[in-house]
Amino acid sequence: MKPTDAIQAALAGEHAAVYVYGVIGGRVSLSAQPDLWSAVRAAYTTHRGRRDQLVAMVRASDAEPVTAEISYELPNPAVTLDQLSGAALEIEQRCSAVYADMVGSTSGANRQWAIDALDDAAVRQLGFGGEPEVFPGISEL
Amino acid sequence: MPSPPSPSPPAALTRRAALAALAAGGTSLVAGCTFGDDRPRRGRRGRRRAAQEVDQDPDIAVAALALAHEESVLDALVATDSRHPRLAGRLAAAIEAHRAHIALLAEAVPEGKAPPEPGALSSPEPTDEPFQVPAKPRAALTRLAVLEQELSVADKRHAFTAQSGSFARLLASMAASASQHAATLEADSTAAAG
Repeated sequence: MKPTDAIQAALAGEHAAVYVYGVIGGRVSLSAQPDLWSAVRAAYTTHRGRRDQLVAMVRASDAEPVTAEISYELPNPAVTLDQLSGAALEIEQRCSAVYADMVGSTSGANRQWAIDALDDAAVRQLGFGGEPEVFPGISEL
Repeated sequence: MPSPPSPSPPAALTRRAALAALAAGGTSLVAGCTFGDDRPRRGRRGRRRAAQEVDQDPDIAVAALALAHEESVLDALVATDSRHPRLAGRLAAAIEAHRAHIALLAEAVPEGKAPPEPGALSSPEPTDEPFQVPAKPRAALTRLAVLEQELSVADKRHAFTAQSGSFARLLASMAASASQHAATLEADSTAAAG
């Protein structure tokens, strides 16, 4: 994969993450589920920031950043506490995979960015009920 | 080092090709590729000595360093597991993960190959001293969390410097795994305190 294609794939993943966290955030109650609310809020902020950084990376390589879809399918109905947490976990796992691919397809500062993003997403999974994995972001292992 | 159960790459493969195949490889490289605790190991010092005599593919050198660091963390986990049996349930996942990492990295490091003297690759030097397990379970968990975090930092550096993209991806994933275990062990340590 060309570096720009890998960055665009990560950007597409971030567009989806921002959308899904926006929906989840609207359904989590601050008073009833304060821990999940905080975790979702932090994740939303982080993914928005990453999306903007990826847009800048794509522009720096003289390409046009991929745009967000109008809407995205949620990983599950995202109604119960378990489903909301599970949807967030699924998003972090998908992001881990595109970041891992980006590590393999880039070098220098962009690779370092992807290494750190993969690390953050892997640890963030634990806050949404995920268990430590042997090879986070690498499904074929 | 004893041959792992999975087939070694054919001798005709270059080291880089073997490594790329390894990094891109399928589940067969890991499945069934676990070692017992009694697996004999080369002394790390001996490996380093051997390394000085052979010029190395830079990625093989990185793999050898990562392998030595993984082994030192596994040693600490196994020693802690043995000293504090009631922590066993909390350490099983980390032990399993590091065994899988070691099995994969061992495939990339040819027989008799040793990590270069650390410094150029800025990896903290694993010591040859046996790991001293803290007497209190909570302190033992905290110590392991620190070791996992150090391993993660080193693996991230290795991922940054690796020449092969697929190997970099693998190392970054191992770093993320170590970070997950660091976070889990730290949380367990805090819970043990409460």
